[in-house]
Amino acid sequence: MSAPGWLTESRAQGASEAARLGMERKGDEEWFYTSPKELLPETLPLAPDKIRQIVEDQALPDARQILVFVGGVYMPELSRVVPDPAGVVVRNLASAIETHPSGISGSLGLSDLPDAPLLALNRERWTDGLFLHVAAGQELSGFVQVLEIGSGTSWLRHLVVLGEGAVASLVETHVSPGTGVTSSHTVTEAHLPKAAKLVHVRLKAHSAGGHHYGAVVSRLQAGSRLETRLYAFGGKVAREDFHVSLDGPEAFASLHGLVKTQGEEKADISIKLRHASPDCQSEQVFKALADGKSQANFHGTVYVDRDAQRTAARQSNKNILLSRDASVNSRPQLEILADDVKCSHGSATGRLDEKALQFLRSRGLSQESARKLLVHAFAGEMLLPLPEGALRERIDALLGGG
Amino acid sequence: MSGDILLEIKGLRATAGKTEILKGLDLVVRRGETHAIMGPNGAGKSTLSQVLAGHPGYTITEGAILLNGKNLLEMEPEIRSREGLFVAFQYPVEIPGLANNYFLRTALNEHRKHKGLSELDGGAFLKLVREKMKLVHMDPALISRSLNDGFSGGQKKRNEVLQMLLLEPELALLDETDSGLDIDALRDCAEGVNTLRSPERGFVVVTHYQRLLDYIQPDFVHVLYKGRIIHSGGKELALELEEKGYEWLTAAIQ
Repeated sequence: MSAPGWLTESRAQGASEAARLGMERKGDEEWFYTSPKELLPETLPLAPDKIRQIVEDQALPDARQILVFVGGVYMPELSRVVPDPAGVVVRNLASAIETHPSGISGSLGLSDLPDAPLLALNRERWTDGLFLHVAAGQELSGFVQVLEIGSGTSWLRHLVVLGEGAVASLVETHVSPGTGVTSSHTVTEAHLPKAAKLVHVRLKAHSAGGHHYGAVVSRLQAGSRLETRLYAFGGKVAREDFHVSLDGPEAFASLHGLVKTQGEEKADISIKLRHASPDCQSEQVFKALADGKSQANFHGTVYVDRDAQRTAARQSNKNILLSRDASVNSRPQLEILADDVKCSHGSATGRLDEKALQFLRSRGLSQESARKLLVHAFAGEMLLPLPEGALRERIDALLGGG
Repeated sequence: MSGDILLEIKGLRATAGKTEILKGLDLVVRRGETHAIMGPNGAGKSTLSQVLAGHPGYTITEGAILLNGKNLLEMEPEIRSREGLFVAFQYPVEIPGLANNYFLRTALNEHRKHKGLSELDGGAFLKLVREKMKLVHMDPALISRSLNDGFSGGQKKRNEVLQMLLLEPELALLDETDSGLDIDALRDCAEGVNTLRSPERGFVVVTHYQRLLDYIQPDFVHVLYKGRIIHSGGKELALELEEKGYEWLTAAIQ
């Protein structure tokens, strides 16, 4: 079956935008520490014999259903599919375009901001992804897991379209096992109409050859709520864009991120959060731990439009340097045009508290175990929003290891 | 084992930066003994505690410290602790985000491993820690809070004594544990210490005030001044110092 016209058009637009912008971006403040090109390396496919074991290891036992993608390809035989309750659609995007075309054509790619090269490239090239729809007033119990296994270069787009007042939770886990070079591009686009609520978790656990571009793109209508939590571990080069726009009054967006880098890894977080409507609230809480010779960068901007009176926006970025050669760059930014707002931002970067280390050792803890405890003390609050369970345990283990 | 030498400090000299603070300090603590160290501000009392604990900010230029006959100065701070030394600090650190119970269990299990004992699981640990908390009248809710984070002065010091009760050191040094405490907290901390006193253990209580020594009765009282012990006596010396101050002793040194 040939692609519908709107999709051909959408891909062509993405392609021309990407071509217009180019992947070098010299002089682009948005790509100061990393160029899009670094996220487009020569890659290799993963040995297929490993896949089944990885799926077994990474599947979260408490997920209501699991969609598995390998190298951008949906693997129904590895996924755990359950029948959709009435008013709910959970399936891969490529097939949903045929089964639910109207729900998709009016949404897909429409939240993308201009001047975002890898977002545009994703719009051109995506092969598949998740389509999640919950009808107005319904709550999808539990959470849907999307497991992405990096292999070669992959392009996924997850589309979440909620009805008014609908509630859903999505957990993405990304891995790139093995030693090969991989590049995963994942854009999650969420349309949240009036009073809808989405809880979104993205866990990235990449190996040294993994490259990852992730984006969360969302527009929030009146009274809707987005909670997105990033837990980013590993990967040679990783970049996460958050483009969130509070379009209706009394919407709320909460963006949290915990990043840990080591070796020669580089991780960028870039946030564009727009208050376009009055009486909205937003919070950004990002923390990074940088070890080895790694680099963790944070660039977060809050825009408050002229009409967005009574905005409350809070932004916090705290970082710990675990070694002498690690580096952190933090750029919190506020651009406020409205006059009646409560906005705060703060940034702090330091080392593990020597006094605390010394104290813990004086109680018999080895240097290593004292450091581990302090790392957990710093990062622990980022895990609190997660319910107890396999996901939290996995993140806890990733924090502790090395 | 009662009567054996537990801690021996010989001619200890220590500097912080270019300033010499301890200038030839001698002290012998035998098993079963409790020693009080008193002295005016700046005498070196806190430096002695920090040096024993292995604080990296001090350099030992001369002398020796033996714990159970072993060279303490060669041990990393954590080994000193596992070998039976405990220093209760004057200003306990706050560590937001680190759960008190998790910290205490980790510390206890490091000690147990060192002694060749099995690690305590969560349930067994909780039972033990609750029992010890009762001894110092510590609010049970504080066990799941972040370590000392937002604790009052009294709660912090009770928490120090709780750590001591769990780790059961052979030699404990309390550095001005009484500073900033109300009478109830002072009595609770002192009772905690007294439950540990035995013919096998030794204690060094560093304090400004005689009051604490009403609760923890010392066998010996020493006056530390300008980095050395200049006078020693029995417990009645503390009362005498309370009454007369230090000048009658320090005047001769000036």
